[in-house]
Amino acid sequence: MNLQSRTLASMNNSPSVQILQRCLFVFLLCATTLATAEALKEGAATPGASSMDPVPLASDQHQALTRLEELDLLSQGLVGKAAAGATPAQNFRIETRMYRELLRQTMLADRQRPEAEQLPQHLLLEMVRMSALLHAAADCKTGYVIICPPDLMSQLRAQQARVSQALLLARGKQK
Amino acid sequence: MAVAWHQFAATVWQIASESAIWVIISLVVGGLVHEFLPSSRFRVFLNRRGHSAMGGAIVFGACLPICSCGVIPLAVSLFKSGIRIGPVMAFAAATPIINPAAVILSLALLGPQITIAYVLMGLVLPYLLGVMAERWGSHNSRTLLASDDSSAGMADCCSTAVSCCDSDTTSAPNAVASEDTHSLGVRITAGLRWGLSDLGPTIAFYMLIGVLIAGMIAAFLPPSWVDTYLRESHIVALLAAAVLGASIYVCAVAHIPLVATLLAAGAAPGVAIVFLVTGTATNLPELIALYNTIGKRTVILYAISLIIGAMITGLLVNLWLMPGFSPVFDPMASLELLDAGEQLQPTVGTAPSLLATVALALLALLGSWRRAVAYIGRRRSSDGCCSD
Repeated sequence: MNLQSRTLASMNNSPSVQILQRCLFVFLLCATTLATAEALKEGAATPGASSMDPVPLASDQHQALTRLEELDLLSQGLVGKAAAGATPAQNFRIETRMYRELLRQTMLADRQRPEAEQLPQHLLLEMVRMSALLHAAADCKTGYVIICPPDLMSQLRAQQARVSQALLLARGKQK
Repeated sequence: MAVAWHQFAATVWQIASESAIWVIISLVVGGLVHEFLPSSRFRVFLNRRGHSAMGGAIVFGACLPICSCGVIPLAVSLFKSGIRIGPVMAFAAATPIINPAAVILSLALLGPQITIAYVLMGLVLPYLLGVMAERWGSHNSRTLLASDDSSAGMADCCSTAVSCCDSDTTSAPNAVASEDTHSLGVRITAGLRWGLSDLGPTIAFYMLIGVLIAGMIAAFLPPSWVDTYLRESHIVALLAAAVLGASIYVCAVAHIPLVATLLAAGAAPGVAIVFLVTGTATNLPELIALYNTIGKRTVILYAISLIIGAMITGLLVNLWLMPGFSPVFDPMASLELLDAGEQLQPTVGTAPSLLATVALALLALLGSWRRAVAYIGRRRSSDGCCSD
């Protein structure tokens, strides 16, 4: 038994085995990075992301509003998760980050359009505030789950209502 | 009742887990400060009379990303290292109120006017608090702290707590004397021992009391209080925002988005800024810990001046920006600033945060045990030798 373990130990210490181990490690690292990048590109990393492809630059205001409505749905879900008090902090953080990045993409695409066709500034401001509140909620990790204090929770709900109302108004004006 | 109990437990856990890592780091740094500061030039600078020492303490504090609980050990260790009470209180106030991440977030969400008021208030108010503490605060309370921790010696001590602590209070001059005789490693060990073994249990014990009271307040405070008080602009609303802000645990970076949504919903800018500044500057755990370690008169003066100073500033901000204030800015620039502010904010992983919470709880238990032993010792000795 001792001889066997000593043989194994000496094999582990040999230069060829060490080189092989390093190659395997580098291969695994590359494979993991590529797989993660591919998954993120396809939107498969987070549920709901697949319905939100990058915004085409030539999309009109209707499409941009639809995009914001999808973001509104996402934030509604996040507010619900924050209220539940049992959402894993890591997942919440990722989805909050996704909300902000998709909002940024939408705003960047909006800037490419003529000023008359751009989204209302107050609506975008409300969504920026929503993003900031969601990030504050993501910091309220008690252990490994998200538990928000009541004052933050009530402001999250109030802000969510304001965003939804602003979207409805914007949609109404468009019609 | 079950909801209140849940709220109590959640608040206690939230304050403890959010602040624990900073308290532990601050205890380690505080121990080193206590060991090395007395023999350094920095002490001479901080003990200068005039504006430079106070200004230096405020600028130094404004650069540190520490909350109002995390600043306690540092402030106490500065005080026990022989720094004057004025710069110590200015440092204790400036550190949690203002930091680079909070200023950037404020610019992103509250707009330039409110940010100017916030930064001015964050620099001027600690200065005034420092001047007032210097003039009217308790200067002779450096001997109060160690009565809690020298439990072994206390048991058979029949005289007053102050005289029992003389051995501890001489530690700063001893540090100077021992500079030549001890190596760096020995001094670092001595500093860490003082920070974690002497100061730590005392601070953690008082923080525990403060956190429990803060939990009680959160449990019985209606959730709608923010909407009730922070939406008004009259003097009662300013007072309520100041007192409630000073009682509950508020972190500047986490509460700026909350204040931004309140402002967008029509809250008075003065009330919002009063809540932000008093909330971040202090809270019950901090006040109770400082009350028992730095001195009662200083801390009462500190709390009252903070509330009155914040209210006056709130009124001035209302006069300046009302009526019709609405923070309007470019959403894209706001988003970029939010990212920059969040990058400046140090993030702590869950595991280190949990470990620090457990360590802080153990320190609080140790502090409670030492106090109990000291109390029993005092009772026994007063029944025995002191009764003669």
